[in-house]
Amino acid sequence: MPRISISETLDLSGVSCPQNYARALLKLAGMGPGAVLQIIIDDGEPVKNVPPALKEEGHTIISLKKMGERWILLARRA
Amino acid sequence: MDIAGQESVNKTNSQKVCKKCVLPQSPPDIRLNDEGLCNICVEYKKTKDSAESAKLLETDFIKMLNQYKGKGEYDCLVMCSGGKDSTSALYYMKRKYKLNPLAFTFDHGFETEDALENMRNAVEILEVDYLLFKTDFMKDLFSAALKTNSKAVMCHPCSIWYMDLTFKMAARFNIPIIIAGWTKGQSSKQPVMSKCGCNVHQPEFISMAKATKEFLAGYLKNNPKYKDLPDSMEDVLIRAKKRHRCIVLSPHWFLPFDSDIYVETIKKELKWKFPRLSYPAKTTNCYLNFISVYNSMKYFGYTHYHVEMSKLIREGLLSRQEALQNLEINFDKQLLNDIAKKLDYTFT
Repeated sequence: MPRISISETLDLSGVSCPQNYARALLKLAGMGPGAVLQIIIDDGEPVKNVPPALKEEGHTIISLKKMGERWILLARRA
Repeated sequence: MDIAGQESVNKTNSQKVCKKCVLPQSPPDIRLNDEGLCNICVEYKKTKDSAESAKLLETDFIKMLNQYKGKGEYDCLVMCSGGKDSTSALYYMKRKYKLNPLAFTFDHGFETEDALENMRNAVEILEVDYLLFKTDFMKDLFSAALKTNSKAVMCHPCSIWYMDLTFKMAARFNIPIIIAGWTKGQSSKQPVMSKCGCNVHQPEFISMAKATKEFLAGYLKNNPKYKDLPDSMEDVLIRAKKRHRCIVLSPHWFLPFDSDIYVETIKKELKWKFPRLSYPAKTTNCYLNFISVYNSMKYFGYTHYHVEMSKLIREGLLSRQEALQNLEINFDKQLLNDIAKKLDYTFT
């Protein structure tokens, strides 16, 4: 598997929808094209909403993995 | 008064309603357990919406605004219906964040004079450029939905059309940010997708979204005039991304939820008034909304406003009692028929 270089991390644990989505979107908008953002999100509504919402904005979801009670999402800026 | 949708009100009364929110039993998507709680409430996990998180979001929002401010003719395009949420969004953009917004109103032929007057006052006082797009292009589609007794929710094709036009306007004027007046209850899923039951992935919207999709698939296919219209919100977003890169945001995601605060401000500063006719209470919606609500109650026993308010109840932002009061049907069949006359239809 090719090595992925994470540019920044955004911890959105405890942040509800739509604030979590909006913060992820704004963070990605401030990064350069192709940069990778690591996002920590909660289980439940956040993990159901944030990844598809970022995808719809044209960003690439590289991976989504469960780590205990949280999810680690890697998204590449469009 | 011949309460519109009395039969649907009776239907709701005969349906069991969740004891925590205001959603009625509507299997298979909405189911009540032995304790009288719906599956949405049972599965809901409350996350703390801290003031700190809202502050961080506003900080990122301002950073983004500053990145684009003054780079083009307009800094942002504000979707304005003349309601309290979008009018205050326009107010914040101009007065709080000192931007140069372009206000955009879409009138499909059923906007109320009260809403349009609110908009005229706002843009004149704030001295912002204003784009009013008035058309009756989709009148035949609305009429066909009624005449064929379709269960389609009229707000859905209208949202698709409005969002598509908004993205097109942003592209035409090369505007990088679209500002909407969406509140927290309207944004449980992807912000753009969440409006008016467009989201087929959210249990509360599945039946409405399916019925609308079916109607649109048949109607758009058989009418060449709609060949360029996207058939879903997903399609709107795909086309928008190809056309022009812009971001859609709402300041209500981080500003105080209590609308009384900003309503007082816009009343005082922008001569804003509550509309004489509205459903739900304390909102501004177009005339077609009354028909859409009537049909949703008749066919599904609830509306997308029940979904929005249920979310707010779960998040502790609205009491169940207040939601029930706001959702009480307050219009009669005479009003429905006055509106439906334009669509060559009569409610019996």
